[in-house]
Amino acid sequence: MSEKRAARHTWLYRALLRLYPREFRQRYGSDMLATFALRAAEVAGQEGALGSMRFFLRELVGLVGSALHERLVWLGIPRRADRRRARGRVERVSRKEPMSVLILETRHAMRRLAKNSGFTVAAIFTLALGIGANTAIYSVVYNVVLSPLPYPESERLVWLDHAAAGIGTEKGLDMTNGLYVHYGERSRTLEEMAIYLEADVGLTGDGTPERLSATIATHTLFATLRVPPLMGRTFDENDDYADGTGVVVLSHDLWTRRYGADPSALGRTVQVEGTPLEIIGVMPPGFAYPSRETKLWAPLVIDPAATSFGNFSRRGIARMSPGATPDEVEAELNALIPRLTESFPSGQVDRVINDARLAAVITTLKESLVGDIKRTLWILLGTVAFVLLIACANVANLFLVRAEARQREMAVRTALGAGRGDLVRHFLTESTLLAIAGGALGLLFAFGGVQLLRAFGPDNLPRLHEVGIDGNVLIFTAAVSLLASLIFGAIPIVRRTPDLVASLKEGARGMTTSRGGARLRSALVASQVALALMLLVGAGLMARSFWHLSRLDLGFNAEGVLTFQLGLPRADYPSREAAVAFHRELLDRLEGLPGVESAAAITCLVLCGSWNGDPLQARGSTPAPGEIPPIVATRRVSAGYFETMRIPLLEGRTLERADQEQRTGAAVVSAELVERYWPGQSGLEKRVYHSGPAEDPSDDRVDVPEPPWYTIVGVVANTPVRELTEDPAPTMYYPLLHSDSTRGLRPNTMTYVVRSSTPPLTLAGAVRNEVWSMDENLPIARTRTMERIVSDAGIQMAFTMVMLVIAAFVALLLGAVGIYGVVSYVVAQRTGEIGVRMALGARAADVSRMVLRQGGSVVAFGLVLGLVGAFALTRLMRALLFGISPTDPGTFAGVSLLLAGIALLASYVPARRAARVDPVQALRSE
Amino acid sequence: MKSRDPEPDRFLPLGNLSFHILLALGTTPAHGYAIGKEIERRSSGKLKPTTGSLYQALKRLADDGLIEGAPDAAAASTDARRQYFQLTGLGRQVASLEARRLHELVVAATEKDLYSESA
Repeated sequence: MSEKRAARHTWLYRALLRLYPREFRQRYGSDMLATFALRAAEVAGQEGALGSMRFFLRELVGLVGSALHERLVWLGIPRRADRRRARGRVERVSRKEPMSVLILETRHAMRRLAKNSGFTVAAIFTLALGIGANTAIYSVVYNVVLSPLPYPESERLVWLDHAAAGIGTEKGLDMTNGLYVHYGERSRTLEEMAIYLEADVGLTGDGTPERLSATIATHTLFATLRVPPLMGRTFDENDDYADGTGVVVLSHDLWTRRYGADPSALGRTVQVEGTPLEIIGVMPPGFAYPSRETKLWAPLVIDPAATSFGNFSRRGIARMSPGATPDEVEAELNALIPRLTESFPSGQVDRVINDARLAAVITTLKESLVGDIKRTLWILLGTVAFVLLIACANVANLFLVRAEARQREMAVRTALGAGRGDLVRHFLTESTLLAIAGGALGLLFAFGGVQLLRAFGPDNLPRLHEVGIDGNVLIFTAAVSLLASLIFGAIPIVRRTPDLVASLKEGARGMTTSRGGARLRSALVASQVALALMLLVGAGLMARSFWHLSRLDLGFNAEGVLTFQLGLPRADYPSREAAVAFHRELLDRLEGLPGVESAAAITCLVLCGSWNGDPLQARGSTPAPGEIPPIVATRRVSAGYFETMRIPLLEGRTLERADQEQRTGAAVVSAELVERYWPGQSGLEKRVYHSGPAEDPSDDRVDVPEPPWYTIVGVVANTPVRELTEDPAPTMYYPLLHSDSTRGLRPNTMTYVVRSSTPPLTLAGAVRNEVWSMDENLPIARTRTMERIVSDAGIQMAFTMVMLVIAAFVALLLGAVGIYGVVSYVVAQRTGEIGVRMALGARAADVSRMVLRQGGSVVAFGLVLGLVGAFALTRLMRALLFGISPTDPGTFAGVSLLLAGIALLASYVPARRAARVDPVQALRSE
Repeated sequence: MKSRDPEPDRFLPLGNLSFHILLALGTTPAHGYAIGKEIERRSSGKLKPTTGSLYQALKRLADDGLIEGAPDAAAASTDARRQYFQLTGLGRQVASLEARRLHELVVAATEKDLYSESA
């Protein structure tokens, strides 16, 4: 595998060796190639794919840099050391000062380019398109993937996660209070550790009520991240809500928005979920942990002496001790896990360790933040690099045509004593000027592109707000522009210098095309076709994945549904009865609104992302010994939820008002739950109880003395919990009971769904009025349509698809222009020959066929090359695709046909022109 | 090809990479790959010339007459295509002059308390 990869890189390296002067290449070329191949194989063996990529990029830069340098030496611009050594000696008289030569050459090139404005504008615009796209995507890749997180020594920050192979969970269990205490007391590889949970809270009592994201974190959070407050202080171990007062730290954004950045906000008291908290500090503007939405931080108090093991709902981060690696941390924590029973000698912990096979999973914090998106971004960067290559090929073609047209001029110059070096300088100056202009314009495009990305990029693209164009990106743009200028500027140079006498003679005959030139142009067009095909295949696969995604049966009907979230402050609604009574009345009022068909509420909506689950104890389903039954997502719903969401009922009945009024023990489950617990049986009348802790992660103080038994009365279709493409989740729906002596959970926060016959968002105002007419202090959060929620869930794929489709479209356009340009040029060159053929009896159809055949063979070659490349490359996209194989024959065939058709069309126009050649005119002009 | 320079101190101070190449060729002839590995090892990975910059430096040193091809070593190797390089007399002189120059700097720095072995 690694050797194959190395071999693939070798041919590219060999091709690039042509950038060196021939003398250098002949002396060292094969040797360099051997050395490169050895090192490439070595790196591939030792450092894997990423290391190889880094190595290859470095080698590429080294090669281009030294080749450029050697070219300059070859052109007679002396090396610094030589100049130093030459001091005191007689300078060769024929050499002008390099600086003045450069200035003179630049001035001449500018004049030439200005005179030929059509060519210049086309070249600059083409380049700007390629360079701009690269700069924009690179700025995203750089800021999201490459640059360190904005915390001191951020490379030492790790994400604390756990896996449980025994219940089929590879990651995502996160942390518990008990693990926090256990690790904190024993770990040596961790210097500081913090756990937290995120919650939506209502902020009242001081201005308009609002609902915002809060993070409840141990006081160690700020020390772990090493970020001091802008003002005041952050909380410490003494801030434990004793004496009935708590503390809170505000984000810079909340402080400026709500308090007008008034320093006297410190010391004031705000009501968070009805609890008074004193503002003790404000964080600096950029601080956005765990997310940019977080507006306040309050202490999570854990008493090491009295904590229970707790449930897995806390997220954890830590700062490693200097010198420690994530692997070492993982090894150490895994060694600590069996000792958990020392601190928590309960059966639960024993089960977690032995049956569930708990294991620590440690990744760097950055990896955990951007790991998912990394591949997408690299693929996008690769894609736009292809676009740039196609743009370069187009410009190189323009250059070639110009060079051929000026062959006589060149020959004359050579005859008058211009060295090969002078000619090279001539082209390189032009190409560099064009690249600089293209780069500058491209930078403008990139500025616009980045703005668009920030506005329309997916919300779940982490660190998107950090993206901008900075020094690093500018250096990248400069490097890309320079590289581009070398690529297309070098092409006319690499060509053999035409034979002087022959060109003068050929010129006299008016046949200015040379065999070498034609071959090179064909090669350029073929590679354009190949690159465009690869992009089209990538875009096609993404588009079809997206199509599959949009046709996915989600198990509900999102059309015409408005959703919003309400959180009832515990202080104002202290009992379950009070909260449920509120919800019930509001639902009644909402159903009375004009246009509303039905309304319902649920604790955690479809795609809410939260599992809140535990295994179920079920009668008639006996798990194998040592096996833990599947985890079940749990939700509480009001009557009418399934009808409002139009979730199909597969068996039995849905929940009714009666189930809500008093405890009937009725519950509804998803089809997947039946499948997992009682495969092949009906789920109806099965008896289950739910042993796990509370649904609300912040409320695990409730003890459940008697397990409440439920009877399954209905089975409904599966609905997604976290993402559209997940495997179906076993879900359990309990009725939203008015009173329930056995379970003390209070359903204070509910998400409402309202189905209407009018466009859902037009209801938002009326809904708000109804809520506020019941309680004017209630903040309403996340008012969105259900369709919006679904489209947001698919946005990453949509984003990737849109980017790829744009890139492929540009590639197709540039490719078509390239083919058209080359075929027209050939036709123009061969007008005389065509005239002769027609004079000798060739028909118009024969002539067009001849031209088409010539264009067609080049395109066919490019297609084959592109198919091979696409076959090799699309495998990298596997993780991004959905419901389609990376080598889907339909997509490959369809895209090839499309490209072949467009290529045919691009050569058809000049072919028609060729067929209309008037032999008399053609021969006369000869 | 330039003629041999009779004054070795003309080449001083040597570039970092050049000096490392001369050091790598100190005892035995070697080919490009081995020179690169030796430089990486000796500089504890701080200096990792790319293939391009390595051969560029080799060419310059050969042009200046500090190193030359070693056909005997090449003939004896398994891969006849591989070029071996060795120090010339001039190269050896230049390398030892550079070493002396560096040594004198170290002595001077030590006298001024700017350097100690243990640091």
